[in-house]
Amino acid sequence: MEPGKDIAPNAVFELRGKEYRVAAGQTVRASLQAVDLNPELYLCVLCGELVTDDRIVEAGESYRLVAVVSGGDN
Amino acid sequence: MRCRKCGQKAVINMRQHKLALCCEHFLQWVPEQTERFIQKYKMFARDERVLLAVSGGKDSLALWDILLRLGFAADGLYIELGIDGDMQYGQRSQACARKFADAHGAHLITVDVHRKYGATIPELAQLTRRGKDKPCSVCGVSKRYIMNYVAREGGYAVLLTGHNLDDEAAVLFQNTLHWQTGYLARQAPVLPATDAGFVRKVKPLCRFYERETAAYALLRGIDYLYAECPFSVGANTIYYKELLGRLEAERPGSKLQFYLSFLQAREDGYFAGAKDDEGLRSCERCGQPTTAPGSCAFCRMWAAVRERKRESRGGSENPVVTQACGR
Ligand code: SF4
Ligand SMILES: [Zn+2]
Ligand SMILES: [Zn+2]
Repeated sequence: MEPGKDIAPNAVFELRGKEYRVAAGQTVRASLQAVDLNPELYLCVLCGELVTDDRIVEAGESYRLVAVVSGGDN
Repeated sequence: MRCRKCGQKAVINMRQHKLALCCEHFLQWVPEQTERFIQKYKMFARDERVLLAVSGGKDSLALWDILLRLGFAADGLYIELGIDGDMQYGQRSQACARKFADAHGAHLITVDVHRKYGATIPELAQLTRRGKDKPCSVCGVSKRYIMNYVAREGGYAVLLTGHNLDDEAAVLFQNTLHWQTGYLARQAPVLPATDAGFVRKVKPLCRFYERETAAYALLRGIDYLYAECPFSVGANTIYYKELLGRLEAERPGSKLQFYLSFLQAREDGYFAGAKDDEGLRSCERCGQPTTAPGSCAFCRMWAAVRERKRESRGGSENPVVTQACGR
C-alpha cells in the first residue's frame, strides 16, 4: 500500500511533478511538515491563489508548491 | 489569516515581522521597503545610472520590476553562459529576461560568453584547473568580471544584483563556519567603488526573505525561470539555505537576526579588514582591478584555455580567443 493511502479523506500537494498525499483537517503548515517538507521553503498555491500556511486543508484539494530556494555557488 | 492593513484574506505571512498582508498591500509593501533600504544604506541616488545584473530568475526580475515602479531608469545586463543541457537553461533564462525587458520597454544588454571570449562556461570548466568538477567557480569569476567590465565601459555609477537575505545569510553562515574574516569584511549591502576600478556594487533586496521575492514575482505575474541551473545541484549555498530554513521554521526571525546582527557588528568595526583599495592593482592584460600580481584571475583563466586549445590543435594558434577583453 502506498504511504498515506489508508488516510481518508485526503488532499494532494504537487511539487515539481511529484505528488504528496496528506490528511485533510489540519493546517497547510502541519501537512507540509507531515510529509517532511519545510514550510519555510515553499509557497502554496490553491486554485491559482497564494494561500497562507494556517489554512485548514480540505478533502479533495490540490495544492501546487513553489520552491523558493534558488542559487548556485557564486 | 487576515491582512494587517485592510482585513482582507492574507496571501503571505511574514513570521519574522509578525506581518500578514493581502495581495494588494504586499505588492505595495515590497517596493516601499526596497526604497527604504536604498536610502538607509545610501545605495544610489535617483539621478545615477544603474545597471542591474539579470539572470531571468525571480530575484533579479522582481528587482527590475520594483526599480521601474519606483521610477529608477535601470538597464539590465544578461550574461549568456552557454549552459544548456537537456532543459535548455540558458535559452530559457535569456527568453525570460528578454520578455520582461520588451514588456517594460527597458534596455537589456546581452553578453554571450562564447561569442565574446570563445568558450561556454561548461567548456571553460573542462579546460581549466579552477573549473575542474566545479563550473560554479569559473562561472562566478566570469560573471563578476563581465559585470564590472560592462558597468565601467557603459559609464554606470552602480551595479545592482538581486541577492536576497537568504543568499546573504547562506554566504555569511559559510564564511563564519570557516572564519573567513577577509570575506566577512567584504560582505555588505553596499561595496563602494574603488580607485582601482571596481564599480559600486549594491544589493537592494538583501533584507527580503527568498519566499518574499518569490511571492512578489508570482503575484506580479512575472514570467521567471523556475528551473535551476543544472550545476546548482548540491551547491553549498543551497545546503546552507536548507539548514537555515530548518532553524527559521522553529525560530521565526533567526535568519534576519543573524544577518542584521552581523551588519551591526560590521558597522561597529569588528570585521574591519584591509581597506577596499588596498592591494588592488590593474591587470597587465586588461586593466581591470585585481589583487593578483600580473594578470587578473579572468585573464589567467583564458590564457590557460588558449594554451590547452593550442596543445590539442598541435601547436596552432587558436583563432577565436585572441585577447581576453576584446569587445
Ligand atoms: S549554479 Fe553555478 S554554474 Fe550555474 S549559473 Fe550559478 S554559478 Fe553559474
Ligand atoms: Zn490588505
Ligand atoms: Zn585581466
